[in-house]
Amino acid sequence: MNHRNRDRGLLTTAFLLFLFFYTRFAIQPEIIYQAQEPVFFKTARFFVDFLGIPGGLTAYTAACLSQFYILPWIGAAVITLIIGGIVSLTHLWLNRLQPERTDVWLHLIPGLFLLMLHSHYHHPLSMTLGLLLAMAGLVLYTSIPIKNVGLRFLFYAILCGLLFYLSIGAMLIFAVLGALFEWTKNRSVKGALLGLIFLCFAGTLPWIATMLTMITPKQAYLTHFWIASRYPVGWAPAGLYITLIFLAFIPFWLPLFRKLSSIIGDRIKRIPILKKTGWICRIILISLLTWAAAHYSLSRDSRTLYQAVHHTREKNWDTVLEVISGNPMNHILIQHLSARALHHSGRLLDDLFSYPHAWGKQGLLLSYQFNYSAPKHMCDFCMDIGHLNEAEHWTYETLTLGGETPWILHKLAEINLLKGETDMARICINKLRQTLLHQALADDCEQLARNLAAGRTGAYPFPIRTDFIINKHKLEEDLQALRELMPQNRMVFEFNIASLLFDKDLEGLYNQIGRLPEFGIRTLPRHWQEAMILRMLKPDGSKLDLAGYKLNSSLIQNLQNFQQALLLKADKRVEAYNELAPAYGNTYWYYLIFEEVAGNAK
Amino acid sequence: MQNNLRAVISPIILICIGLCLSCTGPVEMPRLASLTPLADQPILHPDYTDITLPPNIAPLNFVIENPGEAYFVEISGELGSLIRISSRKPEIRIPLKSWKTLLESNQGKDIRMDMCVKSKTGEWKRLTPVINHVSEDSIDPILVYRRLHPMYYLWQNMGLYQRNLETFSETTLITNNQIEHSCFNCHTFVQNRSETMMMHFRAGQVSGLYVKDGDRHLKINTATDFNKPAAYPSYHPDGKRIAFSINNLGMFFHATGDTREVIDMMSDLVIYDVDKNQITTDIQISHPDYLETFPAWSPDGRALYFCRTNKLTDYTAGSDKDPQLQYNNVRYDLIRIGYNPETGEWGKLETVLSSGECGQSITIPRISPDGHFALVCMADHGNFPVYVRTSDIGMVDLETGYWWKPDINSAQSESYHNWSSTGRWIVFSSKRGTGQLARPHFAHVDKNGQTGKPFVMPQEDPAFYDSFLETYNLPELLTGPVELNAREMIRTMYDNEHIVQATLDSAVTHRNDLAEARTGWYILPY
Repeated sequence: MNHRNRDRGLLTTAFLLFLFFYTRFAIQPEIIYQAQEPVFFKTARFFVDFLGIPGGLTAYTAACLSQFYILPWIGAAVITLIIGGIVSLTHLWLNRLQPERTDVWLHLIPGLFLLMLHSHYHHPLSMTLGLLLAMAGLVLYTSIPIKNVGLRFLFYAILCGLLFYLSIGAMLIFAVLGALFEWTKNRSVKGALLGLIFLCFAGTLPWIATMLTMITPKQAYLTHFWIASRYPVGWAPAGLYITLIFLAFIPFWLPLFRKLSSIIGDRIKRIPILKKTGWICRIILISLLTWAAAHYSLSRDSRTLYQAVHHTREKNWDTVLEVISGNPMNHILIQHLSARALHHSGRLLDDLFSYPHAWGKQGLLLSYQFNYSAPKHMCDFCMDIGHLNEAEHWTYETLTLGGETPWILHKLAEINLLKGETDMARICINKLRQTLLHQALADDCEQLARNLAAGRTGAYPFPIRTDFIINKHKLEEDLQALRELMPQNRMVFEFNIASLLFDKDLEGLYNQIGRLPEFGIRTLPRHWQEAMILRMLKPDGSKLDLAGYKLNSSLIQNLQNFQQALLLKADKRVEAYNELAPAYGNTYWYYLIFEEVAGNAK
Repeated sequence: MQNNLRAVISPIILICIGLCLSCTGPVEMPRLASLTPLADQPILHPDYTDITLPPNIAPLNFVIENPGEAYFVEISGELGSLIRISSRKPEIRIPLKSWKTLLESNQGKDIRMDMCVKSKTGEWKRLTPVINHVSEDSIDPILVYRRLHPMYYLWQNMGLYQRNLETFSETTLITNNQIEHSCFNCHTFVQNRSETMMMHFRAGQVSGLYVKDGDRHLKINTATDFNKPAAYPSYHPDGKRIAFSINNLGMFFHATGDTREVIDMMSDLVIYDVDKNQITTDIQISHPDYLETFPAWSPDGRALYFCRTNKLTDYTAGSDKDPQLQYNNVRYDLIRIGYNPETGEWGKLETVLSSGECGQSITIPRISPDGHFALVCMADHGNFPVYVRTSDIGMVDLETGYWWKPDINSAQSESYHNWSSTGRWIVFSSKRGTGQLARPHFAHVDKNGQTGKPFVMPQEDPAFYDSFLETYNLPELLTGPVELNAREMIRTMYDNEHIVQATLDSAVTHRNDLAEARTGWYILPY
């Protein structure tokens, strides 16, 4: 093994190891799974549905492999292996373009872009697989020793057709790079014309497919090649493809590049320490570059959001709060999930205002508009709160938007079992049995069915016996109705109280104190106390009967301090908002005074 | 070393081959004659027992749910032909060719299915035979339906498909993947013929009415000063005009029991003349005091049937400021009005069956090809039977007014239905079992309107429905396949420059609120 191969091997290994551990620990494949929830069934029918459409096989393989995201180590290995494959194929392709010697790190550039793309939680694996196939086709094409132009065209056309069937739009990557190969190989006008003819043929192939199959031009050209998504690194796909095109011209620019690098190299070699450890420095440099690219492209807000959703589903309430504390972003869902986590940790009415709350009641109960864009959260919330029919409603909305994901099948089975619709539940369980890695969810449903048959409802709240019509625009009204119909449901009670807090309904809060003993609550929760202290400041406040509950004297003192601090900043509202936040930001009084300012922050 | 390896591997390979053969090898067939039928009834899933089946239906594959180690089925006809199937699995798949031969040679006769189940001790047990009757009446070979997940407010993926009932072949006519996931609703044909077709698209760039008349593709905007775009259709037998309802539907949700419900807040009927490109109506079918909906032409085209109820304010209670709709009291009557296709003149209205008389809300009338019967939906209230659990299929004798609920109904919703071209078969959507997923069921109807036991549309995989989460919507029987050029259709749908704007008949002088109908939130019960 010569030095170059050794360096290249070490560099590639270092890159892939970094990629693997970065994916495992920074990106976290289970969070990608949470964001994408790919649908896959191991049945022949599911497979056959993909066979009939161009690009179906890539979509099928991507759906299958994406299932492994749920197993973090294997998920990271899947991404690493695919990118590793692309990197290796890029190396082979560059060797065909410039057989003498290419630099040891150029083949890593596509891998770098792919790392950036996979840092985005919605990046589809099918796009990466499409690129893998295109690069494999390219290596195959550039390796054939056929010189006859007609035969080369035939081979190119066959590969284009095959790649189009396998990976639809990703074929264009092969088509462009293959055509450029014809030009760069001949380095003549004839070569350029030949490449152009090849490219024109490949360019019309998707159009022809739209005539013959039921796909639209947009689908034919863009599927597995480009997605119109809100990428934080929206330019990365373009950067990747432009880089590949740039690399295709390597025979033109490599001599100049070598000259430059030899000048730099000579200077570097003059530094004694770098003379012997040059390749180590190179590895460190590439690693740093990789880390910087990955760090820059990773969306921390998305990660916080999906981590919070992931741990909510796992019912790891403390972890949810930990994640949100680490990045307390003003997102409606973050506020909602923190409220749920606080409730389950028994702290909702003590710490509601210690976590993001700029969305007010909308963040607590989720808004109508938000629910229709992301119905799965409402479905989960309704299930949590024991509102079965609404849970069913939102589960179906989720099914419509997200397809038959294991989570939604599990929810549907649960809901139907609880509603006594066992035949429908059985269909969902059967479907869960067809998934690759979610047999445990099916087992869970079977267990629930056995428990219900034995009269054990477990943690599930009692069903509502009396009907009312859901007011989809005013969720708090439904919550009030639920409070009447499920008086023993503590979650309904607490969310109602939280709703009153957001409504600044001090009278309503006062009227509900009498219900606290029903839930075994011995101390009046902090925010409730804060509200009652304010209520006592009203003219008839001294006559208040707090049903035996006492107010904490330190809280009263705290309010006085807050009032004094406020007076000092009487005319500077925004300034006061910022300055008082560290000391009083987690109090109800702060919310009451600065609600409007906080609302603007969302 | 190599020899040693071979010595180890060879027996392993032999054992594996032996195991494979023992697992997949043919099951020995019992001698039926030597076994006495037991009293044990076979449990077949789907239930294909005691049914009358068309002579051209695809094999009725089923699962034997009686526990056993192996299964044997012998199907024989009175007039000969025999099919024998043995299997280690309870799924019984009947060969298509033998099945065809059996049915063809036994038209008008019974076929018998003898089933044996092998116990763990290796003993064969014979179950009580199943007798089915093969009708002499063929069923129309094509069923067109929309397939989608149970829908609430949102929609994403849906498709229109046609199934060849003589085989298991299902082909896609169009999916909304190709039209930016727009929603498409009613599809209708002229008297079970596939040449002329109409579809209604809503939302997005493609919204409008699509008509395929032979090779002609049209996109029509049916909205005029009188009405907003058309909804439930019925093609006149001459194929030149379509009766539509104009509806203002709203969905609401229950806190317990059935989750969703739909209410019609305003509706009227109009007629669209395809050749004249004109919308017309008459006060009798678009009266401001009534909600008229679900039009259905008689087969001779000389009467229009529809459903009608009082305007919704008649069902409100409570204060003027907060009118509460008594939605569960809304019931529709079945109405008929004479029509002269030559002159376009209307006759007199008559109530065929009133909701007061039958205590049911009558919706979706479909008239038999001989004009003798109307198949309707009957529910305890409402206008949207597919969401109402109490909805059943009802039969109305149009000559006597006598009505009954045929023995084809279940505890769940039975909803959209239609006749075959001969009138000897009906197809209807039934949510039996799951309560949420509609499956197409067929039943034979004799000339007196008496029905046979219904059966679900057969599938190649007999356990297909057990894990299929989509619902079948608006099944329509056709005498031949729809030749739809999806590309041409999509091109037409997107071609808003050549959209045909319907005109309003100048003779229509009365007005209602449907041209500017709002969501009607003020009257919805929430």
